[in-house]
Amino acid sequence: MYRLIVSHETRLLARTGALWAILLLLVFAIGFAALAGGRSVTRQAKGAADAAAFEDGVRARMQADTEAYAARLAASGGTYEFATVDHVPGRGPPQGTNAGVVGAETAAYVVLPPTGLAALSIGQSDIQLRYLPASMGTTLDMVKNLEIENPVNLRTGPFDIAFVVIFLLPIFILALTYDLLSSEKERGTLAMILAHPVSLRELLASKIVARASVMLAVVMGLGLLALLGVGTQLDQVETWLRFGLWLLATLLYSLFWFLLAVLVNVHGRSSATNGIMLAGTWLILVVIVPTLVSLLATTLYPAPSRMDLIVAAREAQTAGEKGMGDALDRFYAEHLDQLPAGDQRAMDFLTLSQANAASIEKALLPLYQQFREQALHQEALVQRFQYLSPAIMMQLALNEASGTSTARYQDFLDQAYRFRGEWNDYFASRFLARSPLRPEDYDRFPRFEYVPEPAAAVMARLAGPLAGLLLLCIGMALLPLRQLRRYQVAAR
Amino acid sequence: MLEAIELKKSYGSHEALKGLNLRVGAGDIYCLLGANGAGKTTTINLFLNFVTPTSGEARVNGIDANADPLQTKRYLAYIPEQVMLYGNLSGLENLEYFARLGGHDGYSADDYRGFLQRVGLQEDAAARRVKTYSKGMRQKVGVAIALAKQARALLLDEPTSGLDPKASNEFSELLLQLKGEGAAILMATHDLFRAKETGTRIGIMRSGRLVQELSTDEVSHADLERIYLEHMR
Amino acid sequence: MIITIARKEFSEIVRDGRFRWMAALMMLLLLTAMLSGWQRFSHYAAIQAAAQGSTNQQWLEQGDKNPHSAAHYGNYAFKPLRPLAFFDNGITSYAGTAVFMEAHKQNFAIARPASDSSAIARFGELNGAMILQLLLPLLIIFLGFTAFAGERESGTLRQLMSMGVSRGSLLWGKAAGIAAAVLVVVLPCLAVAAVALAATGLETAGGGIGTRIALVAAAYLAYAAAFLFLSLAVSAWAGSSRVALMVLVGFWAFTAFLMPKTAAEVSRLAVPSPAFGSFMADMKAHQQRGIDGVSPRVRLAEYRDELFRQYGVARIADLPVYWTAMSMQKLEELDHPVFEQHYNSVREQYAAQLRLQDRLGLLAPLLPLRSISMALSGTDLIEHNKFMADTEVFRRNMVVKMNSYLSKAAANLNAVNDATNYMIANEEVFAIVPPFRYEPPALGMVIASQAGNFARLAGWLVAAIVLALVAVRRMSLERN
Repeated sequence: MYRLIVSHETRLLARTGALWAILLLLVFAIGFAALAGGRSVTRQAKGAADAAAFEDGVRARMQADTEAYAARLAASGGTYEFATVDHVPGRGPPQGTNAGVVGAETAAYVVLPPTGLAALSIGQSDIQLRYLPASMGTTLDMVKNLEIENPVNLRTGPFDIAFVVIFLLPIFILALTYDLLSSEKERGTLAMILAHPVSLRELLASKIVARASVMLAVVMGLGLLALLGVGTQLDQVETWLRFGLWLLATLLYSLFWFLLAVLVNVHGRSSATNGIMLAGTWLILVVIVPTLVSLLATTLYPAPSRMDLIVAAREAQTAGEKGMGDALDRFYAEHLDQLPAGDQRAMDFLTLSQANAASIEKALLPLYQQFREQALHQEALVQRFQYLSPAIMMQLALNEASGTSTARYQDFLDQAYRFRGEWNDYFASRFLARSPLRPEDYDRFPRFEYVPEPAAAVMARLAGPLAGLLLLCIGMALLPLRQLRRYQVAAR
Repeated sequence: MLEAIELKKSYGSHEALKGLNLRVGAGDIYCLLGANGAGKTTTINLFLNFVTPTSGEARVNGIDANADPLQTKRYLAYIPEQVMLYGNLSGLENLEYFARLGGHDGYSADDYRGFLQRVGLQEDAAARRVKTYSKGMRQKVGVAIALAKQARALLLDEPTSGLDPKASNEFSELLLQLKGEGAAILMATHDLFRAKETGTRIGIMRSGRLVQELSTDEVSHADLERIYLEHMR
Repeated sequence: MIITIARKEFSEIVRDGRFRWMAALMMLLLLTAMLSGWQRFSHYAAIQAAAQGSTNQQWLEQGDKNPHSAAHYGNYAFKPLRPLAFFDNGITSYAGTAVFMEAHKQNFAIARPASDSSAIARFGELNGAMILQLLLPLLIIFLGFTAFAGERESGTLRQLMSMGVSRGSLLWGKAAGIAAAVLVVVLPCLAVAAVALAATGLETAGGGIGTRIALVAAAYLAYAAAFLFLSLAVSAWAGSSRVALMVLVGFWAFTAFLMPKTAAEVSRLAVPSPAFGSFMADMKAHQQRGIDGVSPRVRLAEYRDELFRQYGVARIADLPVYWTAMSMQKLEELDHPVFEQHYNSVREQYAAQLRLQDRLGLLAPLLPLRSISMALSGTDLIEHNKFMADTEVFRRNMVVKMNSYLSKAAANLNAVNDATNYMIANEEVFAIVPPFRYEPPALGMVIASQAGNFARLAGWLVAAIVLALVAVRRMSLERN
């Protein structure tokens, strides 16, 4: 019986223009979104590669200088010496021998690699810089830069596949289902059908199956095509795992909207009323609730102003510069082993800025902590309130599955900070000991190796939204059952 | 075949049906007469389980329609005032869908064409989309559905109202054929003439009650009209 | 006649339970949006003013040091907001709110509030403009889609026509009735907002706040009216109210959600702009190369020789101006055309992207409205670009003041070649750099920049009215 109704419904759908129009729109939207997502990921990757290439180029020239210097010494004799800081380049040891110069004036780019699904959900990746310069400055210097992009377009947000799934797919689903029963009733065919041994439940379920199978086959098939289209290598287990989670989330989310249409339809109101109710519900769940939750988060836990942070950083910098003697003493007190022999007050520019950076870093630490805490509070609040709207759950789930979530970025930042420390320690110790960098040292500089999060961590973060969506669907499936028994087939 | 036992239906304080008792046997055409709101359609809806009875039973082939609606609907065919079909499908496709909904999967394409031929639908019309059908053609498809379903009881709700006399006559002929095959037919109608011509028995309803039952061979047209008007007074 | 129809339409709408729900929701959201917008604006304004005051003070009190080092120390400019930002905060969360102005480097704006927000902030910010742009049209559609289709279904349309009501007056009457119902919902909220605006910073608003409000109001009115007449046109044209609703909600979703993102994406594909890493790598490489392919080191040597000729000397030690300062300034000036070329190119790319989106406004009335709203609220790219331009003017002035002071005051150090080759300046010297002042773009220029968008919005309104008139004239009275 189910099969009969499903094939009948499919045939009916195929004969109305609506389905084809919607499928066409869907195909177009997903294709366009894949194009856009691919563009965004490629742009970021190019940015990271260009930035790294520039810095590598600067270091390569410095290395070449040291090689030339070493060769010159080998020919003419003399000791390989450390270059003091000098604005005018010329004879003597090149700047490339000075670890302070190399460590502070070039940077190693720390890159968060995109996952295979990055193009599907851009998330915050278009405003967060996903390649950070690790250098000898402060942490603030490392993270102050932002990915640049037309701010009007940032505000509008990306046209990625997550947008198609979260915003458009429900509209398409509701357009196919808002009059699931009401149209049959208004047309009079409902009574004709129910005069046969068919239950309403069977009828509804078959109608949903007919529509859902067409829509989901298209979405999932196109999702996979989109992945291939943006050039994702599908040979990694992680990519398939993420894609599986992505599909699961999409499935649950679509199911929610189908069930919502059922819930509205079993009350037996007219198609126009159903349409208003469903459009209103869409607006509330997809647009209004998320903005309200976001407003709540920023009102309850406002991030400390970046402007205040800037002022505080300058306060620390000025204080550091004014008490430079003190700061320098403190610095050397902490790095006794690095006090240069003979030269007890290396009052040169780089030493000063080194000491200064360290004291700014120390002064700013509490403020950073505050930022981090408020961000965690905000995130926790969003995590709690996500259950108010399937759209929020879906966005969090898709960001997580695509590797564009806040949590993954935070983890990356932690790794980046650690690497900055490593870089800083390497060059600071060489610089403070006035130990000249040799050409072969260039190949031993600290290198950043991104350590992917364990799959379990990703799964744990996905559990909340996925379980929420699942529970929501189960609830939505049970709700109409009671009402269904009271459904009035015949008008009075 | 169709049996109403103390069947009551009320909507809030309004009693639409006040204890109806009625039997329609195989080969019977039972015509329900009565003014609008007398309870004719409610009776049919109760047999179809479109509404649940307040008390009493509507039995089809001895089974309570409210207790096992899916079983009773196997025996039923329903032809409303306007047979509603899927406009984007042809008459044939509509017939096939409804026949299979009724649980008959075994028919071939020729069988379906045969049903439509039997009810007098032109071959070229059968392949056209129902959108283009006249009312008479739709009612014929309704009968074809009943034929294909091999329905043992037919519930007809003013099936001929709005049909021109020729179409109406053709429809009555089809009913007589079905009757001859042993179907039990319950028909709500306003058409005293048709009721007398095609019906075997007549029930007159008023405000939810069956006020009189008679056999069509017991009365003349004139008598029927007189009795009816008396009850409506 | 029109008034009678309008009155009937109005009372029918107001008695509808669905309208009351929608009206209550709309008012609640609009009030929340206005008040939270106001709170956010005042909070921002307070922090911005305090931060600018602090960094200006820090500049003066940075401690005695070499003037060129002072230019390295630099200053920050914090972007001030205009009062109407409470209504439409535009790109404020995305454009960056602070610019570091330092020697040798022109910087992008940093401190982007959106970067410190949770990912769901990308669903959009609740503000008055968002409610009026997205929700108001939907309210109008819900009130308007049955206007003709519903009357046709209930058969009252035939009856009306048989009474000799002209189709034109039916249209205007219904439009007036629906408009009145919408105004009942929206006006009280706008009044509250106006009181809040008047109570606080009108005096800080600068010139033309009245003109700005009037133009913004006119734009929103035209937008709402366009939706009203479109709803009526579709209701008259559609076979059933169900179809009318489908078509209108579809158009709404298209113009409010699909088109803005599509336009943004199309513009990015058509006019690509570089990522931060690519931009910086290109610009730094260009700096090293020199604007015209001659390296800065060579240019500097030429400049030294030019100074030698100018002052008739042969050694740096004999120069009457401090060579270190002169060379720093020369390097600075060699960078200017490079900065200009690269920053202008990005600015031009963004502008081209927006021009393209403006043109796509022919397809969706939200696009021109959004641009007008942001421009007049002072939260669009024009305003931001002006702010960025002002910071660069300030930066150059600061650097040239410090370098030229140094070049004169330290001329005697040219001959010194040891650790005392260092001049120290104090607060009095730093004070020759006037504090940063932001001069917003002239209102006339802002309005002129939106002329095309005003025309497009007006075009939408006229087209909607014409469509409605035609549809009503051709409207069939029968259900089919």
